[in-house]
Amino acid sequence: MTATKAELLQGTLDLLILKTLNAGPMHGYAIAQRIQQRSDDVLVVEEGSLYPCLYRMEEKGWIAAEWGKSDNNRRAKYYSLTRSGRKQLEEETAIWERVHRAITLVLQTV
Amino acid sequence: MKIRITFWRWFRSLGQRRAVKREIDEELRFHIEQRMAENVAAGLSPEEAAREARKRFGNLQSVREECRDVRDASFGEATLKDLHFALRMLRKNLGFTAVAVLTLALGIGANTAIFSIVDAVLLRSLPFKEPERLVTVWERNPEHGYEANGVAAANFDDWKVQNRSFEQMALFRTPSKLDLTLGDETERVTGFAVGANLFPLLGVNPMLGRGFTSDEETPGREDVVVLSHRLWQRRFGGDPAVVGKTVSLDGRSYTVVGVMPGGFCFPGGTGVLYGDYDPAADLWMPLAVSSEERQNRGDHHWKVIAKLRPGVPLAQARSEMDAIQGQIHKSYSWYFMGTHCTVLPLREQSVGGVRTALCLLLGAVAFVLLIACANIASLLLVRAAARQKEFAVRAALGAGRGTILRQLLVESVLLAVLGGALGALLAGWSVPLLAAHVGDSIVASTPGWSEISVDGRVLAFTLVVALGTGILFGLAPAWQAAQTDMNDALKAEGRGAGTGLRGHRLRSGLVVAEVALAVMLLIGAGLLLRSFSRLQRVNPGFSPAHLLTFQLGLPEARYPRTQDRDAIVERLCERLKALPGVEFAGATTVLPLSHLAINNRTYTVVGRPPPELGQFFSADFCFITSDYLRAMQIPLRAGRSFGAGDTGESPDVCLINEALARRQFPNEDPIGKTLHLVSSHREMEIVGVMRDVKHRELDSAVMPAPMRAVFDCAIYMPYAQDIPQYRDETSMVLRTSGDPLALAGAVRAAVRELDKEQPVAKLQTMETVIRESVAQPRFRTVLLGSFGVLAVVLAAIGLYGVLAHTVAQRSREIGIRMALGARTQDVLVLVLRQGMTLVLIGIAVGLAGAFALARLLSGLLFGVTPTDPVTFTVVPLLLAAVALAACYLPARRAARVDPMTALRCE
Repeated sequence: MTATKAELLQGTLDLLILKTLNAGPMHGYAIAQRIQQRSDDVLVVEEGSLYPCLYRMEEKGWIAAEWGKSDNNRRAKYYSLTRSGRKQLEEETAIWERVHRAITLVLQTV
Repeated sequence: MKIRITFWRWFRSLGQRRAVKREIDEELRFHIEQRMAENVAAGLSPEEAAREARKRFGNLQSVREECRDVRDASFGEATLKDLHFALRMLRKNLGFTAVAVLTLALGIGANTAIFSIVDAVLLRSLPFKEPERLVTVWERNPEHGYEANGVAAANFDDWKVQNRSFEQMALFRTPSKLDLTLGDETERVTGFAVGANLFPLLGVNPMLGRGFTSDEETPGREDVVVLSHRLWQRRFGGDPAVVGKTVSLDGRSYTVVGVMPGGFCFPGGTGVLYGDYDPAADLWMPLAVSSEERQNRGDHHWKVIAKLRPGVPLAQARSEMDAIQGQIHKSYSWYFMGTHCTVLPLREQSVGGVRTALCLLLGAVAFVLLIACANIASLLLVRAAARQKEFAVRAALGAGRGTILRQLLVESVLLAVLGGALGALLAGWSVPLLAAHVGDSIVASTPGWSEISVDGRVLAFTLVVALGTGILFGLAPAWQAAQTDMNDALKAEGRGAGTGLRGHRLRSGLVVAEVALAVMLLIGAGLLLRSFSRLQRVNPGFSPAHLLTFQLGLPEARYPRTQDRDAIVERLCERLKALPGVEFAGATTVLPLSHLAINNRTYTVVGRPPPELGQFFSADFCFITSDYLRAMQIPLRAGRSFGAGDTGESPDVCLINEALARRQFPNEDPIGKTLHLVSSHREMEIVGVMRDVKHRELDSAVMPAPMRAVFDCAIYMPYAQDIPQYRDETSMVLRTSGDPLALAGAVRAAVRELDKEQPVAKLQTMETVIRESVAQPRFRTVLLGSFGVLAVVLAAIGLYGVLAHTVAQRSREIGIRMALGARTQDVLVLVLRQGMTLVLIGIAVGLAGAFALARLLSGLLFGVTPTDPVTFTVVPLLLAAVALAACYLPARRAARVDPMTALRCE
């Protein structure tokens, strides 16, 4: 799979979301917060692109959405990984690691 | 699986746009408010918190829209987008679209047309209350070879008293033709004498006035009449004050007491007269049964309709009636009567004859549609192959497999709906033509025929068929597209985007299926055609060319005595014979093949011991004038014909037909023997033997064998020696030297001169009478034949399409072959072999299928076996020839490939 730059970026957000949801169902806000916390505030998810991305992933069948109650007892939409999402997570993790290794290798030479 | 999910969502989402929008808004609001809450918790003022949250979120409106777009792309608006796109694709390929839509229009149109008939005739319920509980009841005597005979009045009374199965039982009589006189206009109408409880039994009330009372069932009080809606409209202009008016029927006056609602014409079109022709009633009269008739157990001219009690199963009613009739028979075994009963559900009876033919036609049009589907699937496959790059590109740009599948299905369903719309138009235009031009006998004797129309129900059927068709033929290319590896497709660029082996196999399979279906249909059509031509070659026993016929009422009121009737008929014959162009003029009470009622009576041979108890001989009775045989050109086999000396005063004489001679006098000379007529105690001497004439049907095989023996025999008596209770409709026959119809005006004038109140009914040529008598076989033969031709044409187009495409694809290969020395005919053979292999497989499959299915036709065949070797040989050959032509065109094109061009093409 030869990824273009745009796809790479988009794919990365997909990967991060998938990974985050692997821990269990959560709503969009929690996903954004979790990513930010886990990356030591390095990765600040642009909230404007988070939701279209979630919707796209839902279309692809990687994640499923369900309305539920939030911690403060409000109606919120919870996302969870589907089986195909889990598979996608494995694949994208593998690709990411390969690319990451390759880039590291390139950076280490010279 | 995936297609299903996508489709389901797409379908469900059609009305869900607003809900989606609300959900998105709520989700985004939750996010922002969550952020605000956190900001407040971090110490910001509510206003600042809100501002920060919004700022951080970015452009809310555009996010909202983007989310909605994601949804729309696969749901809701996708329909519109897909439709728009599909329309563009269809417009871009006008040729393809036209061929596909036209093919579908033919297929769907044919289905719609046949369904409209099936719907009106088989599916609609009868216009009576609780028709499923209605049955007709008959006397049955397997020993005498009849399954359903009318009941004798005394037997009916016993049934009525003894049975526990029926809520009600009503009597009615076979139709009478009556002269209805209004002012100075007289016309022949059809009347039925019915029991007073018939209308209540059927659950239909008069729309004006009343029905009959049991009082009016007494002889002498039956001078009341109920009009049909049609007659009321036609002759009384729908006058609401018609009740109480007086009309003249056969010279007697009757008081109109009621008008039935529109569409009610019992027993017309219900088939209750079982095998007899049952015309629509114009009016009804009370059935007055005299006290002598009430005692009669030998005269079986009464028909019975009954209504089962709720919850009584048919089998129970049958066994009860068998027991009752068995008992009656035991007590009166010296009468000619049934030993059992036949109880027939009305529905079964009314459609029995047509059902097979209609099911056959429905099956045939389904085959045509399947062939059309295969054709279009094949075309779409070719197109899908050409569009593989397009799909690959779209897939690379993010379109999912489901999106592309959906797009393809939307395209095919759109095609099908366009085809369906055109098909519905075709049907709407052709069905009324078809329904009206099948011949009067079908129109009048098939229940529901007059209601045939392309209405909402039929259109709903069309829509379902169109959608189903679209999905059916859309599946093949969609499946193929789903199988294609997009990367391969992209890489395959420049090599004519290989359709792949799979697509090719699929299309070959479709061609085989098309040819097989066409073979089956054509064999069916061939069998019907062969049996119809056999039927038409049946010798009716007379020479029908140049014969003009018409019917005369001669009502008893104006011609009370045999002599009066005889006198006017004789004068009329003389007058008609004197007309220029008329060679002979005769009268008969039985016009062959005209479906008028025929009197079948029992007789014995004088001087022989009476037949065993319970054994009876019967024959059709016919009264003819002396010139009848000459006019009809019925040859005399022995003895003499009737002459001027055979009058009402001279000794009774008769002619018998060969069948009767064979049956009664196999080894002796019948001339000079005397026959005794059981029910009228008349004796007449046999003076001659004449050739057998087909009175009832050309195809006597429609009757069960024992029945045929009963109806084969005929006795002819001089018209002047008429027996009043045997009286039937009088028909005139004229042997003409030129065009019979050219005499119509002169004939009418001649009748009017003798009796200006006497209407001339059914003035037509004998050839028309015969044509009407085979209207049903003709109808199914013509339709099945057209469907067969349509199937072959479609299959040939399909074959041509596949081969033409293969040739175009293989032009490079062919070029190389030619460059390497292949000759023109090698290439020709190569392509022909490919096509004809498919055709031969298809023919083999089709023959096997036809062999299995043909037995279903056996009931509709005459003089041909379902495995008729001629049909099974000619059809495959014919199909192979058509197929060869369809293969030859692309093959020739292949042979003309210029190697240099083909090779350079890449």
